[in-house]
Amino acid sequence: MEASEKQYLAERLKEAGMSGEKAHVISSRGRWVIVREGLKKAIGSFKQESEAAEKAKSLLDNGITQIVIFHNRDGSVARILHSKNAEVHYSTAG
Amino acid sequence: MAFDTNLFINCPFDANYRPVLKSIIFTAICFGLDPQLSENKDSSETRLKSIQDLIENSKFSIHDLSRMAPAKKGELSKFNMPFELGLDFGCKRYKGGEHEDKKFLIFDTEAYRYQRALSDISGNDISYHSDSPEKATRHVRNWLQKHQKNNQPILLTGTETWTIYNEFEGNLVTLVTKSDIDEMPWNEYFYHIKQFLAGKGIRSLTGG
Repeated sequence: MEASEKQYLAERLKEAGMSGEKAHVISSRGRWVIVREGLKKAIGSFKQESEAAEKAKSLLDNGITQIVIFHNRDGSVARILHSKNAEVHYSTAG
Repeated sequence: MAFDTNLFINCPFDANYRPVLKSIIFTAICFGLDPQLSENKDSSETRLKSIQDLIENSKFSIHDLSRMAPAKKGELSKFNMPFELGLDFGCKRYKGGEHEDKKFLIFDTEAYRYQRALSDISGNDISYHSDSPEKATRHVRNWLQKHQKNNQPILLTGTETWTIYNEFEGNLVTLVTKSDIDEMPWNEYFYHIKQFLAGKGIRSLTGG
């Protein structure tokens, strides 16, 4: 990675996390939890990953969030869903 | 190097362990520590000398013994991590001065397994992460709380720390390719964690 790319990435990361545009579906204490960046309290907590996914999709459909990032149990990213239902898949590890 | 904020991490560096290591690194930086990895050091030094320097310059150490056993039949046990733990105990006991205040967290993957191989370390802080980055995050956070100066509560709970780690991983993936992340040198990864935390207003939570 070039130095200018690194600097750009660093700046974007500094800005990220507070916009509220992104929600994350994460595994926490054996449940699937939806958190929205910038908010301290979780939006929902579900026993089944499928229930969390359904709720997260409804947040997208209702324009409450622009991006949903689904995580594996190890914290890595499994897939990303954008508001126009464009979906990017990553690893299924964890 | 600042002895009081250095954290020596004695662990495997294979791909299977990487998720646990990343969560430990993130938690350490979140609470104001500066992770020290032998992989990050100048290769012109001998490996042992480099490790000795890291041990001598770190108040905090995490020693992960979860990969002591051979991964496959026919392989030999790995002694590097127990050996480095022994060096650290030696440094604490014999070096004197600030080294007497060294703090260790010893990880294994399952409860009491270490007793079959290394029973001499009974009575120390030994935790079990079951190869789960989430458990590792919570254990590291709680261990740092235990050794917090003046018993002040640190600001993030284990759950909050784990959530922010997931947010960081998610944001990184939206900005660079997965292969770039996998190949990223550790010092660059540290830098990006610090940038992300600064953006969230989280910095040096332990106060050293």
